[in-house]
Amino acid sequence: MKVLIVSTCSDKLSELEFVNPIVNLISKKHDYELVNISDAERKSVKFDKVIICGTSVADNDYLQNNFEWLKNLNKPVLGICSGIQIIAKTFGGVIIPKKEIGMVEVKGELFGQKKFEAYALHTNGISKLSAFKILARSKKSVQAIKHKSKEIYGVMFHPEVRNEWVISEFIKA
Amino acid sequence: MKLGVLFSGGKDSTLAMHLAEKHHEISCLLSMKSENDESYMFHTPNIGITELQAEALDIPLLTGFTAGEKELELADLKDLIENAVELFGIEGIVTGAVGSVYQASRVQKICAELGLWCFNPLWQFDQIELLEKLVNEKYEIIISSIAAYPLDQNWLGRKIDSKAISELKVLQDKYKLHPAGEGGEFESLVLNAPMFKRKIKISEYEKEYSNHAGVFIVKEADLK
Repeated sequence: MKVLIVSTCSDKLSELEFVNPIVNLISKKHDYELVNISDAERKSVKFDKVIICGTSVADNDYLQNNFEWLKNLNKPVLGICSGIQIIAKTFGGVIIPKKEIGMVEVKGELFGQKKFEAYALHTNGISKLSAFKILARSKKSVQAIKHKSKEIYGVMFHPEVRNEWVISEFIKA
Repeated sequence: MKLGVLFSGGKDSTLAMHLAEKHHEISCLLSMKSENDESYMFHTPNIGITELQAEALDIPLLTGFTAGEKELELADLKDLIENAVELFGIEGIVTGAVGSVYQASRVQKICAELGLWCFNPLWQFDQIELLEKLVNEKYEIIISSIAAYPLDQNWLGRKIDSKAISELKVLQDKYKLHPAGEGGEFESLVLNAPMFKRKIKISEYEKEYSNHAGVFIVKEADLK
């Protein structure tokens, strides 16, 4: 299994916080390559699965990139925080202001789990999600989605904190 | 980017500063003095030594004071950060948070309210790897307080070196102790580190200990 790990961080220091924990989880069992979001289109075809990592709440630069390549990519993708925003935007969704910081209760069904506590760290939310099935929500926000016809998942919370099973289940699926 | 570091004088905030300094300018250190020894947010033993550490680092230190009441101490921290923005023009905060969602999310909220970047370069770092990194990079660190079984008075003032790490690994396997003290099992004090221009020499100290809880109190120290 080869995983492409995509950084959405515009600041290298933020990668220690948002990308390194994902790299540490994936590298225990799988091959991976790390690229910045601006380079992901060129690299994505060579990999089995793609994980798009989150970034700092002060960082919105990732929204300036072109994500049209995701539409033609027939590979499983998991987007985390800024990653779910990119996925939603690519398939017709819109980014809205929505702040949640701290542990939140998530209900719905994600990889077989129906209720769990998760670490939220976002000031943006997502809306107009007609291309997606909403899998789980917290009181304030959509927390997990799956594209209706593609293996493209997104989670607004940070699974690398206390919910590593989300990443293992995505890799296994 | 100009950054302020939430600085307790312990290993995590010092290492976080060191990692941040590779990418940005460290403009100031921010320390909170809490009257509450049980503070959930702020590391309290020997917080007065931060003044000496700031001198050793040659970085300005801003100190805030709080009664240490849960949540109210956050308003005091926010005031301190706002002062740092005004005095030093900082655009972001660095913390040494490793795994505490309680601490990290509260600083994240303050930064979001103030429009600042929040950096946690040690976030989710493996605790043994963190200790090994400190030793490999020649940090001189002592244990400044303990608060968990089976740690005893022999750990107070003990240097964190390879032998101590091996023993902490054993305690992790046997008692589920967090080896870097992430569960509040112990606090640390940095005497020397790569960014220090001078090192701290302790000339007088006192140990207070009872039933697996204790503090190594620095009575007198200077720079050499």
